[in-house]
Amino acid sequence: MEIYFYKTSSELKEVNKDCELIERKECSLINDTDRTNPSLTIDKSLINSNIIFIPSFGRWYNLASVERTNNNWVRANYHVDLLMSFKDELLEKYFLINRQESNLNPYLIDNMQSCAAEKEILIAKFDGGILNNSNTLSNNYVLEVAGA
Amino acid sequence: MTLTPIQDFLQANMQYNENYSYCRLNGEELGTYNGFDKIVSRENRNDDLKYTFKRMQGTYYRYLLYKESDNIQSVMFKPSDYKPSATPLENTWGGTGILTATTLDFGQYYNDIKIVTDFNYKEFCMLPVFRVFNGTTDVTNQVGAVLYDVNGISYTDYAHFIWHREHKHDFTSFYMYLVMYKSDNGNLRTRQKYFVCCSYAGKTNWIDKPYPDNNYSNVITGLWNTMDLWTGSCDGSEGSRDGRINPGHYAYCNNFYRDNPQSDFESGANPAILEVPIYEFNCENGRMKTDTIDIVIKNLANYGFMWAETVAKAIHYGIDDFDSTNVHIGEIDDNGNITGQDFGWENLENANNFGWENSSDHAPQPDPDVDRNNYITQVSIGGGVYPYNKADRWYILTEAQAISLGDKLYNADETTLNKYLNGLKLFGENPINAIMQLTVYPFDVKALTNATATESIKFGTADLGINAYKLLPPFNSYMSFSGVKVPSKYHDFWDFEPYTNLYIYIPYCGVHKLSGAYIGKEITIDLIVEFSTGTCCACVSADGIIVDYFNGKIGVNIPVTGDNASAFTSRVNSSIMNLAGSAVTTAGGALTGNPFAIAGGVAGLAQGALDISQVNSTDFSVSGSSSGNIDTIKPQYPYLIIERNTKLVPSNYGHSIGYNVQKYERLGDLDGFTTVFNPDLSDIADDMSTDEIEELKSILIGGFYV
Repeated sequence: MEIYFYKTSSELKEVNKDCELIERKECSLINDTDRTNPSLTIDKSLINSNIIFIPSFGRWYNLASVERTNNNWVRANYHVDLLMSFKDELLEKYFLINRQESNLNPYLIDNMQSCAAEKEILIAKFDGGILNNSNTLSNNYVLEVAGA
Repeated sequence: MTLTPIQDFLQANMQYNENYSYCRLNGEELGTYNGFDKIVSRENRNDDLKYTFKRMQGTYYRYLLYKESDNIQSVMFKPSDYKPSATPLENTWGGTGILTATTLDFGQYYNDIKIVTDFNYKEFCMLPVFRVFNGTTDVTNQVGAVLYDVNGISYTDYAHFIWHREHKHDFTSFYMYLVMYKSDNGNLRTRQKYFVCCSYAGKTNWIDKPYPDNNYSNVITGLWNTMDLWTGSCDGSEGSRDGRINPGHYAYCNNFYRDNPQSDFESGANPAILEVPIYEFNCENGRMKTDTIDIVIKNLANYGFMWAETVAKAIHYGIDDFDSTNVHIGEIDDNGNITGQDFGWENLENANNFGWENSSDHAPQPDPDVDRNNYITQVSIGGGVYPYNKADRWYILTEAQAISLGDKLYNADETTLNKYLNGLKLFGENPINAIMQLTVYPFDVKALTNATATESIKFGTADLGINAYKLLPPFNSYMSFSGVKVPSKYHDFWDFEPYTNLYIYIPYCGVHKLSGAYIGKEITIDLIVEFSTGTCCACVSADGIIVDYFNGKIGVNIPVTGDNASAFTSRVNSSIMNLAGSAVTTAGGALTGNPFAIAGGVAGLAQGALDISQVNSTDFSVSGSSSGNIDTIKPQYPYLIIERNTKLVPSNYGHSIGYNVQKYERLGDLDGFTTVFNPDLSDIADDMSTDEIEELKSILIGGFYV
């Protein structure tokens, strides 16, 4: 089957990975592998490819491990990249977003954020009033006497 | 387009009937539907019956059905989301465009028909139509019904209609048709906005202040219930005049599925979309109750409906010409009450800012409750009637005056003779009893009260010779403190409780915790002092709005000790009376009540005849007690204590953990690290294995990058 060998430096869990095509080759799956975890025997020169696309499966696969078989060939084990494989559908779909890096409401309480045990204490003094000012402590007695 | 199997649907809804077939669009497709009415035909239908199923316009309608056969006798179903027609709809469209259910139809088959419970009101306008009949009309069957305008009275002027109503002319009943006019995807936008305005007449749009309910379904349901309650008829017959319930006049059908509503609408033909509840209002003695129409109009206005007086005008004028005076809209004031006025369309030009772009926009979400509060931006203290003891005199004393008062009460520097004379001036009463209270305050009372008038302090008729300021009502005043604003440090939730706490110290009121209402606000304190009790109250405001009140005690009661002149004078008088044969002038003076004559006599007698022990002894009495006030030693200015947690959030927090979001968003609109709640992958999992689905869910929940 035809397989596209790419190289990517994107995060493994990135939906839309930035991939650079290295080579397109006809390869055969090793017999004991499946669609989710395919394995290929590839020229060792291709092990710098860390992601492949298999058109017949309609899926992308990340390189999981490499086993050397001889000097020129290696067995490359892959695992399906579901994010990349279904990126078009996923990116169009609406989800209830739990956490997000940039689209945030800063006033929404986030209990995963942490704080230090020490607390900042600030004291702000008010202005005004005439309490206990030496300049105003006159005429400060009030006498109530019976009879209007 | 996927159709749910007919049989499954019927069984699920327990509404199976062989004469009817149902279908519906599956949920997902309904959710994304935003076009015109679409027809979903069942290809392998029963040859004897023809069914066409069309989805009602708007994303909230689930399904709608009608049958093209005119045989309805054996049908029984109780749909909740739709109302089938009583008669084949197509047969009626050539006429007025408004279907009329007969009594038989309704009573027999549609007992549970409800108004559409969900209504996307970007899609439709409603136009209730009044239809008035005279006393000879057979209202029940609408046979020989005479439209009021046909009867020779013009409806072009709504005031005319009102005039007849007010004069109780022969309105025996009228019908109201609720007409929903469908809009298309934008071409009728100008009409749509009128609808919006009519729910909040005179205002720019209803998004600012939706009225009257949080959900249009409630509006519809409410109107329906109202109609239900009022249903009755008055056709001039004896039995109808008490407004009896006539179950034959309810309403009925949706006509949302004209094949080409846009065309019909624009062509000036019948309304493309009609919703036609029909309703009769109570009458009284053959005449319509005057209050009934008020209620109706109020409801129309409150529900945001337009109305017209006749079917014909509703259809042929109102729909084609929104400038027409044939279409009315109730004016509602800010309190939600109708004003009795109705708007012409020319008054609604200020509605242009309502921006419908297409019918797939989300339905507006009005506020959950009608907010009728009278919000203000400032709260002023004072303004009430101040209760105080008007039978007393109030003075403001300096410290020197207070000392002088004590001296005089104690008669510290007086001669025995003057003590006696002072006692007589008080008619033998103890002067200390005249003092109700003496209170000292930690501020200049005169300055705070702006007292200017002075008066010599008097105990009864005894003038103490101390000239003091008079304290006049109201016996309270206040001083203000300001200059503190609670800053926002983090500009996020850390600035609020429980992560940031505020405490305030107010002299004489103590330390109190403040709520988060003060965050970012200017704090002011008005310390009200109440002089009749010495209490105080601190009114703490956030940006001019008083949020908290804290009570305290600021006046310190001073006990006053004095010579008991009453006892002294009494003893002296007794000694005098005991002197048998004393000077005539003395006795004469006593008899005439002339104290000065007595004094003259005593002046001589006291030299030898009086019991000196009686004269020289002293009695003390005390008024009041010290309340003490340690607060005078505490700080005499308020201060705010801001207690903040120290936030420790690394710079890569968003990229690694993500911020709390809780939004329903399109994934493609996001950027960066993301986690989702309970992802539904049913529509993209056609060729995914179970393991793959679970793995993808796990990734989405656990976190990934967009």
